[in-house]
Amino acid sequence: MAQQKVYDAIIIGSGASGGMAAKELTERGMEVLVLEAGPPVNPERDLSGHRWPYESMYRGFGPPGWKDKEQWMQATAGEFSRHFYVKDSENPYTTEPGKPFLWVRARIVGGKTLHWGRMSYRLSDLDFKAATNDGFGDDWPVSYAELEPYYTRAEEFIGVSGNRDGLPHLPDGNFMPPMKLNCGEHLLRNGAQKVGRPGIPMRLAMLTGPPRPHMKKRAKCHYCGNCGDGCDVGAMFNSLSSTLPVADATGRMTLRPNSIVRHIMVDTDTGKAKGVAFVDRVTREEYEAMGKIVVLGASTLESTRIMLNSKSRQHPTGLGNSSGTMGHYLMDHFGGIGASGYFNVLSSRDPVNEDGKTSGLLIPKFRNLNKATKQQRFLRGYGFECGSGARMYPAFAKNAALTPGFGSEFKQRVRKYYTTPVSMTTRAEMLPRVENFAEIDPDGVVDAWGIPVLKIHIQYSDNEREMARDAAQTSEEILRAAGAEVVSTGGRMTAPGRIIHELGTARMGNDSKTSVLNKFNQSWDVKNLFVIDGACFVTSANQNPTLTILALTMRACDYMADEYKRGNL
Amino acid sequence: MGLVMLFRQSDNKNSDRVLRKLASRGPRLHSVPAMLRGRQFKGGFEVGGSSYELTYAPASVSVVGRRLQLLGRLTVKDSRGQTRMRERVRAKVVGIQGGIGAAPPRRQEHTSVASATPQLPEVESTGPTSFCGVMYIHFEPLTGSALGVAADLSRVQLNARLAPVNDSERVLQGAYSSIVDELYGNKIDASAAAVEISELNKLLRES
Repeated sequence: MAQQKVYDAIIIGSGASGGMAAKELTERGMEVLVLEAGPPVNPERDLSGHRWPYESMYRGFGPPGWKDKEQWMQATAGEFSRHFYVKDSENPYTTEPGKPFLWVRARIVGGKTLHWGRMSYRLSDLDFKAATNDGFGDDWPVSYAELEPYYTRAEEFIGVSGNRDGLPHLPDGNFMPPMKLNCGEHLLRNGAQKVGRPGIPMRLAMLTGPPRPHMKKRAKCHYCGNCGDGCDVGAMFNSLSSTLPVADATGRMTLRPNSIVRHIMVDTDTGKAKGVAFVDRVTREEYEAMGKIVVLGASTLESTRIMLNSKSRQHPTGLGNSSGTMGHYLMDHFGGIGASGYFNVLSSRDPVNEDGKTSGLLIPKFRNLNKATKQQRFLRGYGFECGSGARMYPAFAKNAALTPGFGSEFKQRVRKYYTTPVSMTTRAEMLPRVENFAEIDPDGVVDAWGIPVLKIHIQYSDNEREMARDAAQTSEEILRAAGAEVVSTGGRMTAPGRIIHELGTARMGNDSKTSVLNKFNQSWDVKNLFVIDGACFVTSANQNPTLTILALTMRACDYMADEYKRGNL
Repeated sequence: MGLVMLFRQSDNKNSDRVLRKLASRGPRLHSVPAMLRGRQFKGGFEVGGSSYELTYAPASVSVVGRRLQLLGRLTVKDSRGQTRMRERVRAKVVGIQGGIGAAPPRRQEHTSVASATPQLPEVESTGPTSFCGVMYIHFEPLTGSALGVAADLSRVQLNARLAPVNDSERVLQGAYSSIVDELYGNKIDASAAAVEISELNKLLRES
């Protein structure tokens, strides 16, 4: 064996945050080891964005029963993308009876960036200073002004399409052109405007204009519409197209796939992190890697799981958990509430290809923005993700409520309404509450490699349920104002986890007694340990979180590299 | 289309030379994924380069230390078709995972309902529509050689997935779900659990 190497930094995870950290740190001259729990990607084999359902005998649905057998919680996995996701049969977690949590996980080089929804919105001080605004919980330790330059850098690097809408609670960036709204979305926006709810084109991390000079191997989006099965032209931001190539080009990144981290090792003299113990997913051989800094970007709950599994004499309740808050304040967004129907005015028009545009209309939050919009029954807010237009069959015809009948009646109805469907669904903030938490399963449940798993305790409060009731009413109001035939309203709130925006459990803060990380994503207890994924979030806001994760990672890496050079880590 | 100009990993196995490889402790089986089929849990595993089928057929259940304990036959079949069997193997349900989707029928309304104000929107697969999707079951320590498996089986966990495909499996899932509700939640109801245990034992005898 060669002499054991000590890397400048070991980065755990290769998704949004891990990939960005690899880029940022290697560009600053640091040598990094990236450990990814899942397999490598072979683009020709693994990215299926251009496969048609008819190319499979299962038409994209996969062989009968495969989800129930192996991937029952991987709700967004399809036949062509199932290898992006974990097998639940090998990767357990536990919950309490009656309180399920739907945990969608990607273990593959690139992580969830391979199939993410790409929506990219900034938070504002309405979110960062939420506690000051409404008295619940805690403020973030960073302000919008502090994070604004990093939002700009992140948007410039990844490429975000959107419109400059001038909404103070949804700050603008330097966008590429927005994807245009279709007819139904224009009708819906007009209806929303009538009842005082502005609608905007969704902001997406997709190249809608010529790639900028630094986007060397990326191409403009060609509207094929299958982003979730893997984009092989780099039009959507993911680690494979954007961050990892830059890190690789420096010659200072070593990426090791199939590396499942058991725990972080601690120097018993200094209490600092000194490396990582991991098992090879395939060979099951055990390894140790040494590093001067350990950076966790394994995803919200996996990062917390690793820290909780890293107990030692100095850290008896988990690495960096002197506050006792690690695992707590778990959040997700909720959806499932909304309204859907038809724009009869669009009925029987000639269908055009509308499903290549994986964008739609966003109605940003409109409650609790100021005194005039303050609600008595709930804090914080929600928005609507809306879409309309003709989609590849069966699309809306899968929904029996929208297409009752059989035979010729069914066919006529599908033809008539094919170009008319419209739907709105909520994206809503969940309050950070200490009683929603994850812990290492106290009864010894383990994964296929013998690593203790998480037990997750989470449920909505009446605040979220009151918000859902309000959302059901306002969505119907908007749809009617737009002139739609309303077919269904209300719905059930999604189970926690389903929106795949799990956040919190190792939150940032200004006080080491009530938070795990300081304002630079650095552990209060272990100064060479950083957590850069969604675990650091103090509140969930209602915006999709990835852009904020990227901006925070860039900021943390600036700090990390400077402190490392100064010898402070 | 399909330009494929994305990052691809180089063969970094050389990098392993600068890592510390720990001494192997020999093959060990940590967990076995299985599905409820009939009244049996059927699954398979690979260890030490060989593959096996595993069947665990609970014949009776009881409560031991506020946990559901199963007693039944364990069968392991190797890739050559050789089968080895052990009767009266004890296994304890140590944890569960709540399911998402269509709930199975329950014999009686269960009590493990998340506190919630009525008339507000419901949450999918919680409260009255909740159910058990997976039971994590620890076998008593097993001897690999007795089952024809060259591996450490001293602490094997059965990841028992409940995904019924027929009515009798749905009824069993409902029974397991009810017991889990009574024993594994914040409020333990031993008497209600006893009734459900009795019902499950009846179902196991019948099937």
